[in-house]
Amino acid sequence: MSDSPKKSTPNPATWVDEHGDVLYRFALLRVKDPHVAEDMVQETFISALQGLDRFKGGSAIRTWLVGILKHKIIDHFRKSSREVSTTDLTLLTEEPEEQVYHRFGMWTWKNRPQAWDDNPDNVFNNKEFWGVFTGCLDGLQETFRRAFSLRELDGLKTDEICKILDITPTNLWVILHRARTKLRNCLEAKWFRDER
Amino acid sequence: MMNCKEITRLVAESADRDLPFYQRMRVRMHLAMCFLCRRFTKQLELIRKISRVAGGTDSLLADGGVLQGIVLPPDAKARLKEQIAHNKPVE
Repeated sequence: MSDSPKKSTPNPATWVDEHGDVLYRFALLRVKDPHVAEDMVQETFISALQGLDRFKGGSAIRTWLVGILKHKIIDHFRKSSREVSTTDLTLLTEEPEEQVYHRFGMWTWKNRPQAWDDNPDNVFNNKEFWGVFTGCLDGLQETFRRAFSLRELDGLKTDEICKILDITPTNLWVILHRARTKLRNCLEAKWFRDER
Repeated sequence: MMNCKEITRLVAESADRDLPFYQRMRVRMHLAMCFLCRRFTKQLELIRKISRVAGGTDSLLADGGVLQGIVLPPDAKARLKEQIAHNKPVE
């Protein structure tokens, strides 16, 4: 690393302008609260400065910063998991919402899954769609949202998520099932069913 | 015979754990017959795909990407720049 050219050494003075917005969006998508997201970005920069000698010139500086940010978010989840999950876990004992969608175990005609206009080209590069998606994500209870984002946005294994959120595997399965169902219903109502 | 409610639960859970063999078979048999559960299954798969795109950094940069137009507030930027310039820990 020592013989790498001067050019590739990171220049922290440009970090905020070059990477600040992306890091902020990355955090905001996962923690929802803008102030918490700002804190996460701030902590990331501070850790990065302190660990600058550990930066391997080979990986892009942004990838390195995002990696640090990911850990900051997980730490934040871990620290606040107990207070959040006790309130949300009481929801698990209540009548599940998706009960409404079935009668005698079958789909009701009114609430059956609708056909979607699911051509990925219509969603992946569509600012409006992403607005609906983040809106639906924000509609989930905090623990559901955290579990879903760790699982589906970041692709973590379920046993890692159980440790971070301090919940049992059985509870995690129920939480993820509920989160997936709620998100599906929300996307259908607000986007896919829409007669655009 | 498993019903749609159980099948949708198992379909969702199969993304997070390995279902026992007999459950996998029953899901497969049910899906062969039930177009609504097939539709539901395909939709969950699409949501997984969408979520993975949303979770990557590329989508945060693209013009039509996630949270476009959302920027770090100017006062936060100024504060962060100052902290970096002085390289001092927060508060």
